[in-house]
Formats: sequence, C-alpha cells, structure tokens
Amino acid sequence: MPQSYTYSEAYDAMLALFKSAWDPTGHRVFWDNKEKGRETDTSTYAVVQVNHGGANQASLGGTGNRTFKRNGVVLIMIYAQAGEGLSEGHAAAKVAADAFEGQASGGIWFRNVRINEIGREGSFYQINVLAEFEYDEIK
Amino acid sequence: MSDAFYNGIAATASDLITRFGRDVTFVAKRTTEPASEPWKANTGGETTIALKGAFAPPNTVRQFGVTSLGLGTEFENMLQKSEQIIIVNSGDNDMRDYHVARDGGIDWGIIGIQQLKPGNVGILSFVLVRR
Repeated sequence: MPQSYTYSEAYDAMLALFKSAWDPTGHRVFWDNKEKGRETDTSTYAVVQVNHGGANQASLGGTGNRTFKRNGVVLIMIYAQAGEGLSEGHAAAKVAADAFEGQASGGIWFRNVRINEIGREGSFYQINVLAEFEYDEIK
Repeated sequence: MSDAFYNGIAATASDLITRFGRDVTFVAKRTTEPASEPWKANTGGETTIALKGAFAPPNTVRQFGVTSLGLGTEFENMLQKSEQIIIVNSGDNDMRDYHVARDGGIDWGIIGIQQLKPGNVGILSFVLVRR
C-alpha cells in the first residue's frame, strides 16, 4: 500500500528534503509565511514556497481505503549577488534542484525538476528552481 | 541640525501623542526558531512594549505624506491597504521587531512602518495596520 500523507505531513517532508541539502551551503532561507525579508548584504539566500495544485480521487472504496492524489510545485527562489555572473546562483540552484530531482521521499514523487533564470532583482540575480510533486492521501 | 534641536521636536511629538493617543501594546515576533523544522511557528514567550498611539485614518495621513518620513519597511500600495495608521512616539524602539498592535482587545496586524528619525533622534513612527 502506498504511503499516505496529509497536506501538512507532505509539506514537512518536502521542506525537510530541501533543508538537509541546503544547510551545508550555510546560506540563509526565508520560509513561507515566517519571515518576510532578504539578506541585508550580498550573501546568497533562498525563499521557499510549496504550492499545492490539483487533487483528485484516484480510487473507489470505503472510508479509509480511498486514494486521493495531490500534486503541486515546490518553488525555490535563489538570490545571488548581481553583477557577478551566474556561477554562484547556478551552484546554489543545483543544490536546491538536487534536493528533489531523482528523489522519492517515501511516497512523494518529484518530476520535471528544472531551473529558470529570472533576471536581476535589486542587488540580486534571481534563479527559480521548480519541482513538481505528487503524493497520495489515503482516507 | 544638532540632536538637541531634534530632541525638542521629539518632546513636542511625544507630548501630543500622549495627550491625544491611547495605550497600545506592540507584540514582538517570537524568536525561538524550531531547529529541525524552522519553517514552523517560532516558540517562546510573548515580548511586548506599551506605547501611546494616536490613530488616524490613512487618508488623513496622506495629506502630509506617509512616504516622506524617511526609513520605511513597505511602500507599495501600503497606504491604500492599511485600515488605520497609528502614530507612535517610538523613541529608540525598532518597530520592525513588532508584528501586532494590540488595541483594546483588537489585534491589528502591522503591514508597514515609516519612521521619522533625523540623526539619532527617533521622533515618531507611522505604523500601518490592518486586521
């Protein structure tokens, strides 16, 4: 039987994956709905969001035996110093992407993990990392 | 201008806010971050300060320019989004540390701050709030 996650359990599991990969970089993270802000110097930092999207019932059955498929996108916004090329930003984006690409956290599957160079944002250059996810909730 | 000059203005501002304002408790953000899951709510006790605050509707403050005070944390459309502006004599307090203004049982969420602080003298702050 596939592993079952509630929204909150899946959220925690996905962010734990990112945290374990990102912590060794020593760069700061601004978590969604925690601290709004940005680095006050030119240090690279990340802003993390998990955006749930679709949800549909994937199986019939009685209560406790029905599978509901959840999906969405993890969005990691990487900000590296502007005017210094993309090496630092790409390196940080690679760390974030590798946290999800090819990973299966229990029953959470990540697909189509990619980076997207956005451009300059103030004194930083923004690169987005997107990872589409899918998991089941059985209830 | 010297700090002494601005101290006089700060004293006048404080006097006016004390006379025309009311007690408002500002609640600071909790600062103890869960180590293993930092995306979850911080823990720790509630830190507060009590200040006098004069409430003004946004349109009245606009007449003399909310964005002209100097140091600000938010600018974009904040005036239109705010329901009230609390004018406080913030002194040396950094109002950016606070996220709620508690006024007679109502917790107003702080959405923006403008601070008038020439040199080292904190004269007043506009605290933009919304429920």
